[in-house]
Amino acid sequence: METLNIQILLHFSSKDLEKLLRSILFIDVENRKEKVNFYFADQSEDKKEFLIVQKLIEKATKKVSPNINLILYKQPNYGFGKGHNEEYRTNKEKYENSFIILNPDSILPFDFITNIDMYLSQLEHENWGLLELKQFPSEHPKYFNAQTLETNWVSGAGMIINIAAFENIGMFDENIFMYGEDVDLSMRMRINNYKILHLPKASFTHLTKDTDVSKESEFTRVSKQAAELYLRYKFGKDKDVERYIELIGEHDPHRKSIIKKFGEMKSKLERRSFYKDFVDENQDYTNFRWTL
Amino acid sequence: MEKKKWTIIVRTQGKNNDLELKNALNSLIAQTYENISIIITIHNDNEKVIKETLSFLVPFQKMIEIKPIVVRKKQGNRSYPLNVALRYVDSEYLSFLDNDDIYYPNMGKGLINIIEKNKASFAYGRSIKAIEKKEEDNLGNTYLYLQKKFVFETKDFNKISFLMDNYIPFNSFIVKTSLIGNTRFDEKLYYLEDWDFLRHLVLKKDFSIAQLHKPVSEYRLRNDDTDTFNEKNSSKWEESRLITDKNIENKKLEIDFKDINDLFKQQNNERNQLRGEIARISSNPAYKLWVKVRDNKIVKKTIGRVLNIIRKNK
Repeated sequence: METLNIQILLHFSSKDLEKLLRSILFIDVENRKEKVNFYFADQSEDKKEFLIVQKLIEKATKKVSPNINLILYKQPNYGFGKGHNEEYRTNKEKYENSFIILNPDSILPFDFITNIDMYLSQLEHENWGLLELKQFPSEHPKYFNAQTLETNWVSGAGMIINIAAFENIGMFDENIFMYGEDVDLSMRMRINNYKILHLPKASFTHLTKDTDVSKESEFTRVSKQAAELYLRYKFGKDKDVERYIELIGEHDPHRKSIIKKFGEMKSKLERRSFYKDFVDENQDYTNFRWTL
Repeated sequence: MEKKKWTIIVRTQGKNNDLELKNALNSLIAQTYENISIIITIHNDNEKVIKETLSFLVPFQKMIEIKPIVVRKKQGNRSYPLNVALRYVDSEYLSFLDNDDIYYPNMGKGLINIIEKNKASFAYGRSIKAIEKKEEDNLGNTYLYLQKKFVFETKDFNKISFLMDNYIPFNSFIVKTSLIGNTRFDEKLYYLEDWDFLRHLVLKKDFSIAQLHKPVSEYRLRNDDTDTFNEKNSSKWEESRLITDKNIENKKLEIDFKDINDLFKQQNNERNQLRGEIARISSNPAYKLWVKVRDNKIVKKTIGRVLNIIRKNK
């Protein structure tokens, strides 16, 4: 067993955090000698919000098992990938072989750590790069092999990252502010022959908001679709990008913003690397966007 | 202000706790509605199973109020534990959940909100049907593999159509306990006890309904003999249908013009949808070609001959 380090980014997440902290109080860590550390980085850049978060964490610290540490600090609003890279850079001296990233809108079951420990021990000799925690009640609509547990990509809402692999592939792509960075990380893990696996027994509740795509905010819509274009550009061919622009359509009210944002991301990219498995035969792309 | 209490009666036989009951309970812990209590009926007469289930519940009891009730199996069929649990309900709102199904986090908040907003006594939402398969991975762990999900076929509520056909799954409604009164589940029924119970509620004077057009729960099937409905037990289903029809035979049916008008509109819509589908298929060039081929005398004869040869070879 190793010390478990869990990174969580907060952005005006105090309401969700309350539920998450309440569930952390009941996590079973009694038989664990090593600590479980939760690192909360508040990206809100708002004094009032930070104070609320601070109070919640102080309150939980008094009640939580002595085997669990709750650590809070401020971070500029770097977005998802860079935010986690920064958390990792700050704390990596304390990390061992892997670390976990988790969304704040999560509720953890009492056997959350027990199940993670079980998988980490079972997979000790496997060449894995990413392990996906199962989201409950709604799993991601994507394929995984029922026996080998291999999957195409791993969601950033809850994943375990192998540190050696993470360093080797250059961590999260900081050109992506939000959405799609998990798909990008998964792609690069696969290109470098690291296995990425789904862990069906290591589940947590993910309180996803309304999944109705038509109700998404402009920011979400633009970010997701720009990321989709960027990933196609980064790992695919020009025709993959053109095809997706066609799918967006001439009359989409966000078309200009999506292409502008994609242009900004593209200009910062240093190298394209064509990946033969970019388009997976097992996946029905007509009804499903990767970055969703 | 504190929210009014909502009780969920969970029915289990103590089988597959780690694969099924665990999910049901986690889905209750995840509810965004506050002030919840759970009554779990353990319907089994095997003392080992009872003991295991009670100890399985201990960590969950630290997180949420759970009252376990042991109901020995010899005391009755599927209705009996529900009736036992009803004796212990002291809350404003009530709902039911089987151990192999789950609620979505919005279930309580969504349905209680519309009950209060519409001053209704009953509310239901959509349910998602999930097909799962028991799997063992290469690491030796057993788990449920999700094969498929789709929206449970449901309709806008209409009193007349509901008395003819059940389209409100057991895990997709919340009812005001005051509406239940002395109504109980019929213990003669092997199956359909939920529909029979709802039919009695629907026929009450105080019954008023609100509908949420969002998924609130998941009805999980495993496509094996453990499912409630399978070919082996179809005769018991038919028997149950006869009993439940007889149960409401002499009940007074208060139906107003609106119910009839709504039903007429609903059926008209369905008919139009069907007509639209037929028109769409008929206008498809591939279908037109198929009709020509199908009606061709030579093709018909050839198919007949081929089928005869196959039959003879068998």
